[in-house]
Amino acid sequence: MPLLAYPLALLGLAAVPAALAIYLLQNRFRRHTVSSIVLWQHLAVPKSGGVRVQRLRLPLLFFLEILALALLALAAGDPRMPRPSAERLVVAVLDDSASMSATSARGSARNRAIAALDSELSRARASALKCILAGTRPVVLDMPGPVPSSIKAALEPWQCRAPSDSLHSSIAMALELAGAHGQIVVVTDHPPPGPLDNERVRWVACGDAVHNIGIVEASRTPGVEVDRCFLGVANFGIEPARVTLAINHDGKVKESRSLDIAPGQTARIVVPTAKTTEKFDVSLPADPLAIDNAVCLLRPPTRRVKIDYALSNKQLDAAVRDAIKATGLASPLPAMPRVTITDDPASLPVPGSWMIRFIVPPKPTLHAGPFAVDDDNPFASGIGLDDVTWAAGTNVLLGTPVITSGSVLLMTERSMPGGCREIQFNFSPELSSVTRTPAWPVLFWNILRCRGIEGPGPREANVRAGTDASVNLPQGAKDVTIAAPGGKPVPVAARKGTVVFTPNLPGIYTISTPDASYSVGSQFLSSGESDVRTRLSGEWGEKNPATKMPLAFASIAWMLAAAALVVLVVHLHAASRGGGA
Amino acid sequence: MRDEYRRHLSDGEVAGSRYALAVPREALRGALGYWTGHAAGSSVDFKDYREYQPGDDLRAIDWNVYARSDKLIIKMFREEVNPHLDLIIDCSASMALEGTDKVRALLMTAGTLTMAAANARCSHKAWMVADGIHAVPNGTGMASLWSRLSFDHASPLPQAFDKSPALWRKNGLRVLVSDLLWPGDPTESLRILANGAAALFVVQLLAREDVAPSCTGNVRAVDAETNGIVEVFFDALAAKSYADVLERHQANWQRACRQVGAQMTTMVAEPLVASASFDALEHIRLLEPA
Repeated sequence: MPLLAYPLALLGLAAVPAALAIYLLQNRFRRHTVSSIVLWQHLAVPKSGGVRVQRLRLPLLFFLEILALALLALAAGDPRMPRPSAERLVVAVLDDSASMSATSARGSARNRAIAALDSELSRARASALKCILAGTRPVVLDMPGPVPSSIKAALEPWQCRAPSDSLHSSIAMALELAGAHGQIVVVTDHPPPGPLDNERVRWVACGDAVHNIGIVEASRTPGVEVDRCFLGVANFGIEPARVTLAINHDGKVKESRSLDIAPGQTARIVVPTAKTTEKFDVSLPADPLAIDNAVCLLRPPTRRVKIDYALSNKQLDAAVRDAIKATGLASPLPAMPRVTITDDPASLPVPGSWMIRFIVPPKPTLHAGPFAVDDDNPFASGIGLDDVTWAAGTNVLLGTPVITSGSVLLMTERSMPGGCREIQFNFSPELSSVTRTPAWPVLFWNILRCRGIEGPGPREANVRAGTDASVNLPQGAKDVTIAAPGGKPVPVAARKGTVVFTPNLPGIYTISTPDASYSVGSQFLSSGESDVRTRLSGEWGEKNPATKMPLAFASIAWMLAAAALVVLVVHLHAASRGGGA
Repeated sequence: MRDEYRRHLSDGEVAGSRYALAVPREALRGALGYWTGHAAGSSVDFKDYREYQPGDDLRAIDWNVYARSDKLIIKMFREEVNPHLDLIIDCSASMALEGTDKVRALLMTAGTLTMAAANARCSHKAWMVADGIHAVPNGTGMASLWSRLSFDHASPLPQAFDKSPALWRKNGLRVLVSDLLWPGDPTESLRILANGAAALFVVQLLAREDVAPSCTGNVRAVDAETNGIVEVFFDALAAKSYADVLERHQANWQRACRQVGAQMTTMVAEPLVASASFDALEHIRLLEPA
């Protein structure tokens, strides 16, 4: 049934009664006074015969005009006839998580998923295809609109290496892309979490339950003499397993460790490695899921700081030096980030450097607590001030309070222009007991560690794949590139001297500037993806949803306008013949 | 009488100053006047001799002839005559057809004829055909001084003769100005008009609308005098038929005029009013340049 785009245009049909009225008025006898009807009597319209002829002459033109008016009014209303739309859009949500790469006797779930998608496209008679990779975040694939002739080739970017999937948000994005009539096909390896509440969504699972052993935990912690590598290996099987870890220290030292792991359990070990070992590689034997069989832990960056001492108070100087020595973070190298420690209230910080300034009051007051510590401040991390006496004056420190006693500021910190930072202490070493508590070296350890990671280099040498990695760049660094494992360098933009990126692939990412190069190790550590015991195949959703054929409404106004034109031409011809007669 | 009628008569007088009535020989009869008649009269112009008959005026005896011949002979002199114009004006409602210049043309014609008559030393008298034939008040004087002319009557000329016969002068000129649009044979009416007249002129005055109606389509024709109605569909075919009927009607009048020895002409009002030229009347020798 046709629909009218502009139904108000039918008001034009009001011209029909107007035309009728005009005709009736025109066909009325008009009064005409004559000198004498002697000359008119022979022209009188006879009652029998001639009237019938007259009445037959007019209605043809009248009906033609009415017909033309009706056609034009309908055409103005822009009637539209529904017809099947030529385009049937299918939006495919592809599970990009690593479990899709697990292989079974039937091959990988990804390959089976490609075949299933092809089948779905054929069944739906799709004419257009859009794909969303549901990895850590939804990513719309850059694909041409029509369904490609080779689905496999078109889905080359679908690698299934993400540490997690984002099916829920990807399905929401797919519904937006599909519009009112498109269908959504979700291709994954597990059943839907609940009943499908949208008849346009079809869920196809292509997984197979397989037994897998994978590395689910890995970290490297710098020690005093050696670095310690923590490893966790999980057995996602139904039987106990003995696995042998192949361990490689920069390729120079190779060792193996055997682990007996009960089904569903995780075995953890600690493997030391030299502090100079750049790459600590661990690998497992091949199994259905390869991505979780290897990790590469990079050497954590050295976070040393160059200390400049400018303390005139000998007792204070001695206490500070002892605490810094205990942190192990001081470095004599001049290229390291610098920290100046002084008790001179007038000294100015060096640009690009930090300053720890002690304000020693002449008449201090003892404070025994309670002390208020800003736990969110990294400088105060892990500090306990129980049973501590702090001698301080009533000097007003500058900056954000870190430690206070009542209204007295004991420690503050503030940012200065030129990349400087100043930490101030309101402190009298002679009367304070804090120098003899663990809090004293912890304070300096926190300060120096924060100062150390401000320097160029990655903040963390090893990150879990799918989490953010941050790399500080040298001051004024330009033309920064990032190269993924096995990939080519691509330019990236730095913000405030820092590059932040999300490594999705396991392996080593290289961040380069023209003057320096840094590495970040990305580890695939996702027990959710490594556990493929519950994967299965199946189909959910309507095979033939009610919206199987989207409708398009084509305008037929042009047809009505053409018909009106024909009627008007016929009217013109009839009127000229009638006028000639 | 309407002021506009008086103006139209005055306009006719102005136009008529260029014309003089062309008096026919037959009109040269009557009592003492400006013109010399054919009959013997008492003017000083000698005409002829004849023998004395008992009863003749003794003063007419030519005594010189008697002295020479002993015969009683009397002299005959030309008579002085004064021609007369009887102007019969159709005052029916059709002569004042609305939307036309018919009444204006009629009154201009009347004014012209009276002025032409005056230029020709003719007396005149105006008559109106209105429920009978009545003399126009002051109708022997200047046309612009006439009064009580109105054009709202319905009786055609034949009925007017029956109501009140006219007292027209014998041997005078009679001019009828009318549209002649009434049914029936005009011969009898013309005989009455021509009876005793030296000459009869019939001037048919039509409006352009009478000659070629401009209406089209469904028309209800209403008679201006009788309010009779005829409904017609007036198209090109009907217009041609109308013209044929009018032509036959005019031919009928022409034939009747010839039968009674009258002259007939047709004038159309609108061009006449525009040009104030009475060539048609000159053509039938009713008028001549003054």
